[in-house]
Amino acid sequence: MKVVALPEYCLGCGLCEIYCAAQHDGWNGNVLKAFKKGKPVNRSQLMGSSQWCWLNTCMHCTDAPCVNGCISGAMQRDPDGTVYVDTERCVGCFTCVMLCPYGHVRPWQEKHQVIKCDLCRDQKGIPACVANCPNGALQLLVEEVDAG
Amino acid sequence: MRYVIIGSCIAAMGAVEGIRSIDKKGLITIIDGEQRGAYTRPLISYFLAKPYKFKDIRYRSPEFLAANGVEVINAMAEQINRTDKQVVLNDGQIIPYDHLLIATGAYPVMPDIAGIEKSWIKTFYTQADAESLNALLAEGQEAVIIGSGLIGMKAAEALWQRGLKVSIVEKDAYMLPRVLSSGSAVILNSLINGAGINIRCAEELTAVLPDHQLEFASGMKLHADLLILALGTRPRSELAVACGIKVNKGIVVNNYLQTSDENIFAAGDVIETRNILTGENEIMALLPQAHKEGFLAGCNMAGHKIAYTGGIFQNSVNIMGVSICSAGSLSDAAYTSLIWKQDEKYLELFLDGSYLYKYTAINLPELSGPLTAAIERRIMIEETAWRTFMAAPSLSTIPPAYWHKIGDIPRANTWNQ
Amino acid sequence: MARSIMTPAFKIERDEDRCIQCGVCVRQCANDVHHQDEDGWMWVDDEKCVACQRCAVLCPTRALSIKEYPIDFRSNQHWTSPTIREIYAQAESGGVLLTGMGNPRSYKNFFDHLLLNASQVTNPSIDPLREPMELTTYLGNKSQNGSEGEKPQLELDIPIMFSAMSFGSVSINVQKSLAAAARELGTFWNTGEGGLHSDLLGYGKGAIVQIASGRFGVHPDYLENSAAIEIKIGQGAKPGIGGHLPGEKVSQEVSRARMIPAWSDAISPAPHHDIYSIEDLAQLIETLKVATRYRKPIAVKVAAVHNISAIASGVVRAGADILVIDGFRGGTGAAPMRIRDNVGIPIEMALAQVDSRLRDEGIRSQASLVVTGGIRNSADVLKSIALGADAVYIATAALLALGCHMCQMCFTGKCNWGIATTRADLTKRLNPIIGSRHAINLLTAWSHEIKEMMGGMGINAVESLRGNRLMLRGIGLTREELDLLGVKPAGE
Ligand SMILES: Cc1cc2nc3c(=O)[nH]c(=O)nc-3n(C[C@H](O)[C@H](O)[C@H](O)COP(=O)(O)OP(=O)(O)OC[C@H]3O[C@@H](n4cnc5c(N)ncnc54)[C@H](O)[C@@H]3O)c2cc1C
Ligand code: SF4
Ligand code: SF4
Repeated sequence: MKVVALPEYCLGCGLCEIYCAAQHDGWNGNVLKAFKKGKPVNRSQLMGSSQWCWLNTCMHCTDAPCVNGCISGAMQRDPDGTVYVDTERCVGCFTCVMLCPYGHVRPWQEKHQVIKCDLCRDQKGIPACVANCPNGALQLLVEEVDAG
Repeated sequence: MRYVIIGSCIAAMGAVEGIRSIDKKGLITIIDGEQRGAYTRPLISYFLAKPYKFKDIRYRSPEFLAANGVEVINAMAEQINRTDKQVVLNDGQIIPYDHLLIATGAYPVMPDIAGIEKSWIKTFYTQADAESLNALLAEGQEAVIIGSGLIGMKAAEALWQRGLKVSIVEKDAYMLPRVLSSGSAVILNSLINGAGINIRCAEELTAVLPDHQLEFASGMKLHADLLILALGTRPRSELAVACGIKVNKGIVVNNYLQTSDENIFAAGDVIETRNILTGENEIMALLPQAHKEGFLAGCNMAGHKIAYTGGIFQNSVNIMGVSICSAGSLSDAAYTSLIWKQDEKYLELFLDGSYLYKYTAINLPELSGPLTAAIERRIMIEETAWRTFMAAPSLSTIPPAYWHKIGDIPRANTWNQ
Repeated sequence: MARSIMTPAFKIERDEDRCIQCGVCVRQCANDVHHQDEDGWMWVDDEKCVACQRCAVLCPTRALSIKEYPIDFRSNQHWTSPTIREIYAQAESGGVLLTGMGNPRSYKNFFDHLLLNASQVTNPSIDPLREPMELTTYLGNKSQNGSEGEKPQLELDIPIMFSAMSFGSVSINVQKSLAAAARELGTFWNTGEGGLHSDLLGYGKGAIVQIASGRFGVHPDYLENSAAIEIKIGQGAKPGIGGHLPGEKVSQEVSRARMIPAWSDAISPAPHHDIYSIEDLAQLIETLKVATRYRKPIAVKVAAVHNISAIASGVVRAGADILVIDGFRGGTGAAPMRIRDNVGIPIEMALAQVDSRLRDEGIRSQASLVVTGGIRNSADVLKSIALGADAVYIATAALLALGCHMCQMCFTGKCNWGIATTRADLTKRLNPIIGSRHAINLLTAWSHEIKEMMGGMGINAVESLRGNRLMLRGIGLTREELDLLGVKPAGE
């Protein structure tokens, strides 16, 4: 499963980032509260210019270089195929950052760890970015999970 | 099918994952000479810096091994008997195998200097090393680290965090010589010196004198309460040598990670890996590589032929809050070097025509992923595009050609006729 | 330049308790109304706001609302606020007032004065969920004269088509949305006078291609790759005048589709310079029929003007297979405001008159009648059919379905909804997958409603409703208006 971005319809409005941030770290999707009371951090990031932009989403690679290369075992794939970071274990060496060809995993400077898309695995339903894209520029692609 | 793996760290875990991705039933036995389970070597410096926090530096949990039906034997492998396809252990056990993986890793290199066997002189390679250093050190002591490679730098940082006065001595003209260039080294040198670690380059340790005195080739003398040797690693290949498989700098393997004996595979720090950029076989003691090789060796052992084309040097490390990412390597050819600098950030690219061969990024880890892939996947991008990128490097300014060629971003079916 | 003598037209209210300074409004406004300074403070420039509501719709915390600027002129029935503001605008600019979309004035709306019939007891109504309802409509010349055999017809699954909106006046994604929707719905879309974009070649067979006075993008393949050809003489929003697509909108792509130099003004002359009489028109129609080997119906589109019935009679006699009449509420991408608001007549009147005239002259079967210009809902569609139309075209309603918020600023080319623009960064705001789905949804909903209303009247085929003015009653109309419309007053 992964979120696919379609640059030809991406507005660069940034709602994906906003809803992503508010979906994590216990804010439960409450945008107003998250941004008024805290400094929520988005997982996926918008890239490009206003002419050509897209949300840099995680491909949740089957043979994920970040998982394979993680020096601590923090970067993992859950049984659904979602690649996520175990924040208990990440030491912030950024090896995974260096190994992701999409530039998706990125440093989370405040925490000395990394941050990436987890497909909102802590909640039910479709990821917040997909649910809140006003132009269908983000689509959830569900495919067979490789048994291995 | 009976699989036996000698060694129980990164390459070994990769192999378990590889085998199990294909063969769910075959018997897997791991021979763990270190008897520490599957822990991750790079985290020993984190343990040393914060022992209370990093007590557990396991790479894969015992549950992982149990779930994958792996039997672990805590013993050293002493001999490989190729004719009978058996491994002889130091406790006398004999373990038969159908396919064997040698994942014995490496040894730290020891200098040939008299008087080096002292209780205050240590290597920094195993969990045991880190534990004994932890027991030994005291705040305020003077520590000298020989070698400014990644291991030396991480050891230095850990000791500095524990309140020791730390000096690093490097034989080469500048620090981290495998990773940095003369230009990037200057930046890093000042950042790290500024943070309080003393770095001396172009100095070679020649003798250990009484009273904790160290003598260097230039005549310089230093006092050290603790001396750490971080001179690099050499493959732990004696088992292979003894049983007559082909060993060069490291164990020689083919594209399927098979040694000269088709039933014996090898992976990780113990083998020599083909450098994609130069075509040369080299020792690449890198964790991601070890995992990948282990994984592919596992697949091949289980009968699924997957070729391993080689790797590139790649490393990401944080030292004293400075992030250093680098990948690729250079041969003797003439390269175009493009440099971008701003405050404490630095990026240097080495190009040959339309190909990137190496980069060094200081405090710019977010750019390292695409740059590494551009090197590893040999992505052709015009030099002019790289120059445009270097005017203001960011993820958003990565040459568009990169995104097009990386290709496997699935573009869902959009509007069509 | 001195400070303007006008207050802004709109006022943007930002609820500071809700604004999270996310900047979505800043990034979405093509009119540069919103601005975020270095300290993160949000600012608005009310003057530039056109009330397109893009920011308010996208704001994640609903912090924005847009109101008419809360200031009233001393009340005056003659010198109303818009009148005064228009004078200010012209005093400051010295120019013709430009506008977009259709006539917004409060002229009498005859659709709203017509009521539909329903069956009770004597002729039972029909339940469209249980019994078949036929909406299929054929457009073309249905008279069989002698040896010529059957004339080419357009077959419509619903009597509603998408009206002409040229690529250039609207974005390519509008055309993609409508073209795909038309195919799905079994109806037709219209290229407008801007030629056919290469991305839409595959949708040519579902298109009515237009030939207007500028002759943009007309070539043999364009005529060939179509369902029908429409000669555009006039447009309801601006009868009597031509078109002017400003050079800024003539992007490379527009230039390719129109076959004119990029960034040059695309001028459609007021008349076709080869049509000064019905005979000239007949010649063009015949030329097109020959060119397409009599396989395609030829339509002629005229604006509803004073003597429309005589014009219609002439057009049908000139050989048009479909006559399209565009009423004075018809929309446009750009028109001089005075013309839009003061020229032409209501479509209801024009339709009733033309239908009667053609019947009286015995030529009604020679051409189908399509009306357009202000059709707002399925009831308007049904009333049009009962007044005598074969089918209707919708344009504004379709654009609303695609997201248009009626700010009427189409002519600026800065449409924040990606509709009336050719700017790539704005065009992509309309995802044609969503656009076509909305258009399909709209017409699907309308066809349900049409079937329901027809069923209520005890009619099971749209054929039987056509020109059936007994199904209509007027309310609040004068005797004269009733006579012109050919309907009886309510109660009679
Ligand atoms: C301090 C430190 C920091 C590092 N930091 C990084 C980093 O940041 N990034 C990076 O990419 N790499 C780093 N490395 C390198 C990385 O740890 C190695 O590349 C990786 O551990 C290699 O894995 P391996 O499985 O090949 O070998 P090893 O991890 O060396 O495992 C081999 C195992 O086999 C056992 N063994 C050997 N012989 C026998 C025998 N005869 N019988 C039974 N068991 C035997 C050994 O005891 C050992 O436990 C670092 C290394 C160190 C020491
Ligand atoms: S973070 Fe990058 S490497 Fe890891 S799974 Fe996602 S896309 Fe793949
Ligand atoms: S930064 Fe964290 S998740 Fe990434 S490789 Fe290092 S330890 Fe693993």
